[in-house]
Amino acid sequence: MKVKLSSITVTDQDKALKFYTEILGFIKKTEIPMGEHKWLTVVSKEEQDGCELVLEPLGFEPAKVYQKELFAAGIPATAFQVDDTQNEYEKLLGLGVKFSMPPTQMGPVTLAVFDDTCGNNLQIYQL
Amino acid sequence: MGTQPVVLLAYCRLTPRAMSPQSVALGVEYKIVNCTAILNRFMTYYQHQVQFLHKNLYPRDYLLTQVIRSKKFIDKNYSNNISLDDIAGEAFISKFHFIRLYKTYYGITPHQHLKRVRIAAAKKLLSTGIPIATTCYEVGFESIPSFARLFKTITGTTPLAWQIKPR
Repeated sequence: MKVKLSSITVTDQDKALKFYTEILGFIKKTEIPMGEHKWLTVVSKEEQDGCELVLEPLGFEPAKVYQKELFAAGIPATAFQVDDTQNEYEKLLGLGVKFSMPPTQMGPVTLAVFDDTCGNNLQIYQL
Repeated sequence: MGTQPVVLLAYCRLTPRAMSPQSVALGVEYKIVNCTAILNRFMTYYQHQVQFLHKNLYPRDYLLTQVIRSKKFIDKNYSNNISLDDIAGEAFISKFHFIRLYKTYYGITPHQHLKRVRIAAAKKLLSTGIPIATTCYEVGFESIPSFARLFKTITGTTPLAWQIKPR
């Protein structure tokens, strides 16, 4: 059994695809129309055979409540590892990304949290 | 008093002694406040949690800094023949205390981290077609059988199978 998928719910799949590819630098891996929505995944440029991130549509009402509360609390829906949090932070700031938490040390990890414009906070972290 | 401007001075920035004579002459009222308290009110729940965890789980900053430094030493020097003494030396802590601390912070021992870093580097080299023997020595191993054994343990596949895997 392998872990090949991770997922995140987004308010708008097309908008999310634009943000995750053009701003965060991920690559679209799969896009399959499925009626009103689509099966849409992205992967890291550095690990194109690695884990796929599913950009799931927000169709289930309780999921909307969960996403909204998580966002309001500043809690990230998921996290991505980077080589240097400060550098990544400055690069994303330059691309217009809004951060709710600048690079902050938490033990041996340096992390930062930003808005993905599709209902989620995302975290970048450096080990 | 109600119409006079009130200037909030960040506690860590200005004191009444730094006020200009002009400000004093204008009768500007100064209030010294703790800027930390103000900033805390605008922090998210998550920020509070991160701050709380950092303060309570990692109270000794100087030790944390030393251990992080030793981890960076491993990340930079993995291809050399480095020993635990070299790694602990970067942290200026005794060897056994250092291993215990490292495991507390990272969940694995320094030696386990060194093995993982070497295998991660080996995967990249193998993907570019570099021969297995060359890769083995390039990433700091001294024996091909022990490299191959560790590679299989960590990745689940042999170096050769990894190299010829279609991408």
